[in-house]
Order: sequence, then C-alpha cells, then structure tokens
Amino acid sequence: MKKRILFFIFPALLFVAIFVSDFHRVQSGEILITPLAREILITCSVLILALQLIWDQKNRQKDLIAQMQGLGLSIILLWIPSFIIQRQVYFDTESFGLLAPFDLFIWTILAIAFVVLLFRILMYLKFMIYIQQSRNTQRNFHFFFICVLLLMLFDLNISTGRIPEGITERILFFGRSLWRNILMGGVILSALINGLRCKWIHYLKRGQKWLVLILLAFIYPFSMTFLFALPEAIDPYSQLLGTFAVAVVMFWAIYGAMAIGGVLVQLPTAGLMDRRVEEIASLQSLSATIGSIFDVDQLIVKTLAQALRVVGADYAWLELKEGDGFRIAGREGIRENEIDSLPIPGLVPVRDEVLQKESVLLINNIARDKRTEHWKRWRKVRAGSLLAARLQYKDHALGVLYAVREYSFGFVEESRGLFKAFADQVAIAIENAHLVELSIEQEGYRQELRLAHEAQMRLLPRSMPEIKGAEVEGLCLTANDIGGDFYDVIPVSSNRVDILVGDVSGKGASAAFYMAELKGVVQTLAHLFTSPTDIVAEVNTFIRNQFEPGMFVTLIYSIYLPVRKELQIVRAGHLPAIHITQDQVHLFESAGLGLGLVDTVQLRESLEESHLKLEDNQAVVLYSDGVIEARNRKGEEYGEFRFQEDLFDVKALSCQTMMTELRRRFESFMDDTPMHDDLTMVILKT
Amino acid sequence: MSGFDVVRKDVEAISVVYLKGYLDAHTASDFENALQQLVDEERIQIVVNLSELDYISSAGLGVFMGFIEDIRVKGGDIKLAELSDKVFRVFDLLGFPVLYEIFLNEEEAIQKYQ
Repeated sequence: MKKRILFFIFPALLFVAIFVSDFHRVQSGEILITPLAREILITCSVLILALQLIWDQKNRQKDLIAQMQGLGLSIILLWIPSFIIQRQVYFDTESFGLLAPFDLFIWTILAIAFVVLLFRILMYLKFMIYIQQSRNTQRNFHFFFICVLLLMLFDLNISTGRIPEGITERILFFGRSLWRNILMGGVILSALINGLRCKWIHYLKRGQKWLVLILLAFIYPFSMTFLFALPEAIDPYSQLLGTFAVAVVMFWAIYGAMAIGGVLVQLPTAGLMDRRVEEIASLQSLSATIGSIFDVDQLIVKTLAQALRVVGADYAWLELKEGDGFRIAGREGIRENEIDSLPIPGLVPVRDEVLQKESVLLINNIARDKRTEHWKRWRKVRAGSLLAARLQYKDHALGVLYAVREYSFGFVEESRGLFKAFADQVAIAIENAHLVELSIEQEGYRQELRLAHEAQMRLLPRSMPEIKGAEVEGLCLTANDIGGDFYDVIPVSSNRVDILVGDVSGKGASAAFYMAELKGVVQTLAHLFTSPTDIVAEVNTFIRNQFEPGMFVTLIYSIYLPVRKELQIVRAGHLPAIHITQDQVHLFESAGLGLGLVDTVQLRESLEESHLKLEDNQAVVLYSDGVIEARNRKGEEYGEFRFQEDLFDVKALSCQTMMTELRRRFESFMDDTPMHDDLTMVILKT
Repeated sequence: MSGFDVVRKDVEAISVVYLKGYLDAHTASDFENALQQLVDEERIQIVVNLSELDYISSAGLGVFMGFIEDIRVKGGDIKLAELSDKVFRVFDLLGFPVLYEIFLNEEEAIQKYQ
C-alpha cells in the first residue's frame, strides 16, 4: 500500500513543481525550466501515473462487460473537460500570456485528466484486444506503443524548435516532415492490425451483443464529436502529451469502428453461437450425470431431458433392446400412449436403418420421406422432423434414441453429429449403470463370502483342550474366501479326545455350508458313539440323506485315549494319517471309501479301523490334500515326500513349535504363490 | 495354471470322453456339461479316458459321483481307463476302485460294454 501512495505522490510533486514554474513564467516571464526539461518531466510523471493504471487493471476482475462499461464511462468523463475547454480557449503557446493563476491551475489539472483518461481508454482497449490472445497479439500492441513513443521523441525535437511546424499540421495527422509521416503511418497501421483483434465478441451472448452494439453506436459517434479537438487543447500545455493524445484518439477511432463492424457481422450468427455453447454445456452436464447416476431408469429420465436441450427437440424417447423386441425405456415431452398411437409399422423402417446402416439418421420432412410415410396417420402428435441415433456400446446396439420437432426442417445439419455424440454418451452411461448394478450385486456376493468365511473360521476350534500327557495343535489356511476343509478337536471326556480332518467336495459357499452342518453332526455323534467306525458310518447316513447327490466328504476320524495312550483311527477316503516316531515315518493306509458315495452298509464293509499305541515323543498328523498338492510359482509340488521329510526334521520340537516351523517351511517353499486349495493340518504329540 | 479340455469320441453306442489337464473346482463344470450332454442324448455307455489328466480335485471327483447313480439306474455306466499313477492314487484313496470299473486301456473298457 505504501508503495502505491508513493506512485501518486511522486508525479503529484512533479506536477506541483511544473505548476510553480509555469506560474512563475506567467507572472514574470522568466523561464525556470527549459521547455525540453519541462516536457520530459511531464512525460515522466504521466508515465508513473500510467504504470499505476496498468497495475490497477491487472488486479481488477476480468469481466468483459464491466470493462466495456469502464470504457464508456471514461469517454463520458473525457467529454466534461473538453466541454470546458471548448468554452474557454487557453491558446497561447508562446508565453502562456494573459493567463490568470487560477486558469493556469485548471489548465494543468485538465491536461493531466485528459492524459490519464486517454490512458485508461487505451488500457480498456488493451484488455479487449488481449482476450484469447495469440503470440502476435502482444507484439502488435507493443508495436503501437513503440510507434507512439518514436512519434513523441520526434515531436520532442520540434518542441526544442529545431524543426518548426504549424500546430494544426503537427497535431492533425500529416505534416511536411517525411519521417514524421512514416511514424504516423505506423501508428495508423498498428491501430488497424489491432483492430482485427475482436475475439471478445465471441464471448458475448446474443443479448449482450445487441447491448454492446447499441452502446458503441451511441458512444462512438459521440466521442468523435469532441475527441479530435482534445489534442489541440492539450498541445499548448505539453506537446508530447498532445502527440500521445493524437495517437490514442486515432487508435480509438480505428478500433471502435472496427469493433462496431465486427459486432454487426457477428450478430446474425449470434444465436447459433449461443446454441453451440448450450450444446457443449449439455454434453458436459451429461458427462456429469454419467458420473453420478447409476440407476438406469433415473439415468434415462435425465438424459432425455438433456436430449431435448442438445438438439432443441420438442419431444424425445428412447427404445432399449429387450430380447428380440424393443421397449420404450423412457420419454420426455410426449406421453407413452401418444408414442404407442404411432401406426404399428411406423418406426420399423427408421429403426432398421439406424440399427443396420447409418448410426444416426436425420429426416427433415417426415411427411415427405418414404421411411416415415406411416407417420402421416399419426394423429395424436405433430411430427415434422426427426433425428434418430443408435445407442451402441462397443459392437452391440443397445437401442435407439429418437428426437422429434413438430415442424419440418427443425434440425440443422450439424445436429446430426452432435446427436450421435450424445447418443454415444448415453450408451456408455447406460452400460456403465448396468455394470455398476452388476458389481453392486457382486459386492453383495463378496460380502456374503466374507461373512461365510468368518462363520467358517468361527467353526474351527478356538482353543485346544488340555490332554494328559499329550499336546494337540491345529491349522487351517483357506485358499479362497471359503473352502470345504475342516478339522475339529472334541474333548468328549477327560479320558477321550476326538480329532478329525475332513474335506467336503465341491466349491465355494455350498461346500462351506455343508461343512458347517457336518461339524454339528460330528460333535453330536462324538458324544453318542464310542467307536470311530460307528461315528463315520453315521456321518455317511447323514450325508446320504441330507446332502445333494454327487456331494461327498472325505474324513479321517481318530479317538485318542490318553490313559491307554491309544489312538483309534478310521480313514474314509481321506489322505492317510502320518505317524512319526524317533526313527521312522509311517502312513496309516487303511482301506475306507469316501462318505456319501455308497450306502452305509457298503461303507461299513470298506472301513478298516486301526489302533495304535503312542509312545512318548511320537506324533500323529492328520492333514488335507491342500498340504501336499500345493504348488509354488515354479510349478513344483510341495508333495508327500517333502512333507514327510519336514515332519521328520521337526519331530523333536514341542507340538506348537512343530506347527510353527512346518508352516514356516511351507510358506518359504510357496514363496507367496497364491494357494489353490485349502490347507488343513492337525498334530497330536505325545 | 494349465487349462482343462474335454474331447468326446463316439464308438458305436459307446462314447469315450478324454480329459486333459487340470480338473478342479474351476473346470469341473466343463466336464459336467459334457456328461450332461451325453445323458441328454441317452448315450449312457461311457468310458472316460484319463491318460492326459494331470490333476483331479474333490470337485472333479464329485462330477463322477453326480452322474453315476442316474446313469446306472438307466442301465448305463461310466468306466474309467488309462489312469496315471498319480490320478489313480487319488481315486484309490477315496475308494473309487470299489465303485467304478477301472481299466488299463481304453479298448478293454469298450470291449467290456460289448
């Protein structure tokens, strides 16, 4: 802020100094400052003020209409001093003689006001010229300034008296000096070049163009009545400022005339321009709609309303393919029964053409076109011209969008491309909405799977029971969200723990739900029967009765009796249990069919129950095929042998660390390869 | 992951189905459709050739179980032929040899029908 005040104070002080000198000269005829120095001082102070104006304008909000108003206001403000000047003639170039001190004061003020206002006008014009500037715009405008500066320098020569020239000749355009005439020609040429920069007209709406035209039509002739007298009024005060005034007035005279011409030329097409803007705006708002609406019906309602705006139709409707036929999915500006009242073959030729040949069809005169001859009998609504576009997503057609005007030749040819672009957007929007609906469904499904997975994980035993003289540990990793593997450790009594691992055939959710059912059944049976064979046989009966045909379960069921240190084990189609002693690894490859494959009698015949005495520091491992069939990225299978080797390596560890170490080895083998099947394992360690 | 392929060959009244690759939860439906088509055509004397099958999961085994009873009630059968050791072990663990006739080669299985 302080800087700004300085910018005002400094030129003001200079002007005061000049005024004092002028005053002294008028009073005594003595010259305090040479005319050259005086001119330079005046020019400097005016330049500082001008800088202030430029700075001011840069910070102002760039609104075209506001700038135009500023321009008009400046011109009217200029008129006031020139009015005063015309009343009182202050002409006396040689000595300022006969001037009263008050008159001198007024004169100084007026001269400054003139120049400042002229500069303002120049700045407003600059703003207009710079709209949508190209690389040459600034150069052209600077060219004008350079011409003006050279002209002023040239005239500075005159003021020192070296080349005498008559005032009128010097001020008004061309004089006798060739160089000065060339410079003046430069000013006029640059004004003409800048006059071609009328891009701001494009930014005006139709109404605004009329307003600007009327404004210019008043202001311009009005300004011409007095502006050319201004330089003559300023010149006696300062020749340089006079020259500057000539240049600016010239510039305005040329630019103003060209602007009026520009607005006049563009007026007839003004409506079209507005329409274009409207079209683009509606395409944009459609894009916005696409992003925000995922309900197909709601989307169609919105897009149809916009279709009317885009091409300026009276009504529109949309047909979507449904099976082999078409269904009116939405309409705007017309009732459904009105569409239906169209004679039945009425739409078919149009629809066929749009779907099979042209992706967009314009019929200018419905009554005269072969394809729409049936429409003549469409009594309920007026129809003059038609636009129809295919809604196409990738290579399949979703439907057809129709827009109708009540009068023939209602659509311009350009609307065809626009309507096509619009239809493409609509097609994408509809397809998008479908996809979103689908993914919401899938999200729901995923959510279900996640819940099922959580439920399944809850089904696994949360803590391991205390067993006298033994430890037990379980692990279950699922490949997908849910799998068919399960294990359980059931403390039936203080002297009996049942340990089982099973796998329900099939995939995904259904296997998991059967597994959950099975778990409850096994828990109950464990308390009812004492032999693993009986329990497995009963499970088979349950599966035969309750599961869908083709589903089967592999199960390995064992009962551990801690007092006797005995393990009773039955294998029903499952991978054999592994028994690890101090010096060997042994598989329980007893016979036994999977559950659910045959009736219980036949199953019982196949089952082979084995009993095993466990000594201290031995382990039995029950596991699922996910363990040994897991493959890493290189395609290597973890495999039975690797698993047995690893088991033998870790046999001396405690049950829990054994499990941790086995898992670590398995995971380092898999090296982050996604698992393809569930992995389940239970270790009993004595 | 290797793919899975089902190819069918008709030999008079008998249809031979060749399975190739990985038969698991993802590919089971292909096999299911092939069997369903045979049942629809009432070609229920079926031999499944497993010589090129690399892997079978419980879901794949489930497909056999899903059809066998239906086919046997109608008087047909599914016979298995040319199992690799690995695939045979999976069938064996589950007890399939009790349920299905398994042959070393395809011709034997076809002859069994005739």
